Amino acid sequence: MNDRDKEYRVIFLAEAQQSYDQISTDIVKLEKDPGNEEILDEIFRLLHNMKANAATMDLHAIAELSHCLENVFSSIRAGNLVFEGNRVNLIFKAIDYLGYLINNIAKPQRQVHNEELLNDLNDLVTKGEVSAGLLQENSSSFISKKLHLSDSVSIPVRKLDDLLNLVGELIISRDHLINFAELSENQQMKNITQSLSRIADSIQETVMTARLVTVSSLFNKFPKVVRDIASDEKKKVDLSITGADTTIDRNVLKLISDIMVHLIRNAIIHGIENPKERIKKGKPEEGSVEISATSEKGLVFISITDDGGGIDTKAIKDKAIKNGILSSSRARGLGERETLGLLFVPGFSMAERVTEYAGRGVGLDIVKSVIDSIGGDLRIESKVGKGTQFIMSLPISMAVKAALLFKVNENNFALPLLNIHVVLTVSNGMIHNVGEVLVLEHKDEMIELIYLHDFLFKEMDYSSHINLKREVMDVIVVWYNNKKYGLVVDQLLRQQEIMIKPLQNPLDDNTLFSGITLLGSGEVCYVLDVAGTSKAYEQKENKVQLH
Amino acid sequence: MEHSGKKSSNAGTDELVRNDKLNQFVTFKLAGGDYAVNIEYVKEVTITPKVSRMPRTPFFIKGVANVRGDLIAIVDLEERFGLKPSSLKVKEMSESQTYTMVIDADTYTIGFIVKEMPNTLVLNESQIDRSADVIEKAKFKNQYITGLGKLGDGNLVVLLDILKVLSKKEIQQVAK
Repeated sequence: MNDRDKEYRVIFLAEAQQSYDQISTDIVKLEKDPGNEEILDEIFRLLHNMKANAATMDLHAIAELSHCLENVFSSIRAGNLVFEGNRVNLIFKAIDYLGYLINNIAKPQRQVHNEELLNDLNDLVTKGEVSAGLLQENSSSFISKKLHLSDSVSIPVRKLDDLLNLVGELIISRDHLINFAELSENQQMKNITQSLSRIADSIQETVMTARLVTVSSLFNKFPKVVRDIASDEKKKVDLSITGADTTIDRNVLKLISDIMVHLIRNAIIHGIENPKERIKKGKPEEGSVEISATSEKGLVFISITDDGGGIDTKAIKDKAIKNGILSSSRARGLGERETLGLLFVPGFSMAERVTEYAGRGVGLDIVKSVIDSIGGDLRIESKVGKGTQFIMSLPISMAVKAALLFKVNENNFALPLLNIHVVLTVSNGMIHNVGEVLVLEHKDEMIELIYLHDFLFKEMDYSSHINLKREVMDVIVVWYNNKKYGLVVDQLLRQQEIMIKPLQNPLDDNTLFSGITLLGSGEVCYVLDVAGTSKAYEQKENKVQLH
Repeated sequence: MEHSGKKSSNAGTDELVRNDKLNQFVTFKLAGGDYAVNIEYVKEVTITPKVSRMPRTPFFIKGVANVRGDLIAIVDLEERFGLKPSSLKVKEMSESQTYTMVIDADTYTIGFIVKEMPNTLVLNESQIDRSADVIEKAKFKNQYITGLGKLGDGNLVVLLDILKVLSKKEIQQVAK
């Protein structure tokens, strides 16, 4: 048995024990109130789930018994059988045996069918009666007198959230202490701090892992989603999933579940061509959708790739000009990637046809804003005729993030690593002033620069005129809306894990920052929001154009 | 929510047992004048910690400070009320020691900078004038003044409804 199977067993056991306890409580209630349909439904549901789960775990004795019991309760529900007399005893006995099987899950030699019991249960359903004789003995030999309590507990996500917040506070205190210890001459102090910091690290690690689930819990639903949409659209689609065992924070997974369904719908409805068209284009009749998840350095990348028609950037430009989002002169200068980024502009939808699944205005802008809200990023790559790929980069956890710290105007700032494309040190000569815009030439690419010192601290007029006294500058290149921006900082500090606290009134109107954090030195550090910053920058640019 | 509920029930009992009801306030000076807020909102008074300026916030928000591990916004009420030109302020503040009143406003915490150490003040209802013409006029414009307190020495103290001073609407208006 590999680790995954072991893990599933633990989960099954916990659930089964819970269900068993619930069923036991319910049948006692039912004995007093035999006609209660709510209780009957509940028992039926629990047995049904247990049957299905046990079958997938290859626990046949449990599955078979649950199945027979389910039939019995089905008859009771249908009114063919009344829950009274010696039938009650038989059912109690059967449920006791179910409990015995569940509690001995780890012992294969005890996972045996109780033929007598199963026959009686089947008789009960078919004949409506039990032979009275064999039910006289009160105590069943297989019931352990010891009450069994489950080895695992289920915890509300809320509590894990609280715990994670506390861990964040702990980390801040730890950093504080480390700073303090470094200044101190006392060796013992240093040793204690070191061991404390090790413990804090492993607490953090443990809490973070406790919140992680595999993406398979979401991905497993996709085959059916794909099948349904494809058959409605009369298209043939083959879905392949890789990396389903990648783990991610449960809350992040929950947030992206609707987004993923939306992107899959888009891929099938707008991406994949119908079979005739595909054959004409020399593609296989069956379209392909690939969903893949990988994790790297605290980030999870999920991509959705189709081999459909791709997105025509010219059509995007035309539509953007028609909708007044873009001036035609500006459209000409727009690169392929940046044009695809227009799909994220609110209200922009390329769907020409309204179907049940897409094209109702719930466009990519919403997908993008949800991903922005958790500090992730979404990128599109597309080739006309070849297909489209959406790549989400997501934080493994929502509250604690790896970030790069830097200084601007003597103030501390942080930028989540997730948003950072690359960090460059550039000399003055590589920066050009094109009109009002500062541009960095890097590897045949022109990257617009935002001089943070002016951008952040010159409230009224922040036209970027870089302080030319500086020969060399550090530039953090970030991605937003398929476009790269270079943030010029005063001084790079270090990389560190930070616990982000959300802004509260009266600061929460400020969209430039996603939160604040406290550094170990006790100093305040603002967490720059890439989405907010680039939006504010673009707004400023538009204003300039108006003049 | 809870606070405002408490308040209205207080007002009800005020009418029944007039003059007997004692109100506790914390008083502080702003640009020479006396102001007071209900003591129940004041969490603590501390020497103003290092305030880190937050870019692109309204001018009267000085930034964010770390008060016992809590990160709170620091507001300059003198600038908030337009009691003196804001440009002079920054230098003075860093040179002389000021105090920060930490206010607990239900869902968030905020700090107010004051120059002198705040004091406590007890007023009974007869010492509070809630109906003066001046206040009525002021109320029309500034919803956050709840009354005028008369001190023993004949001086007046302006009573502020601190939650209203901080309301979103107010802040957005002043920021413009």
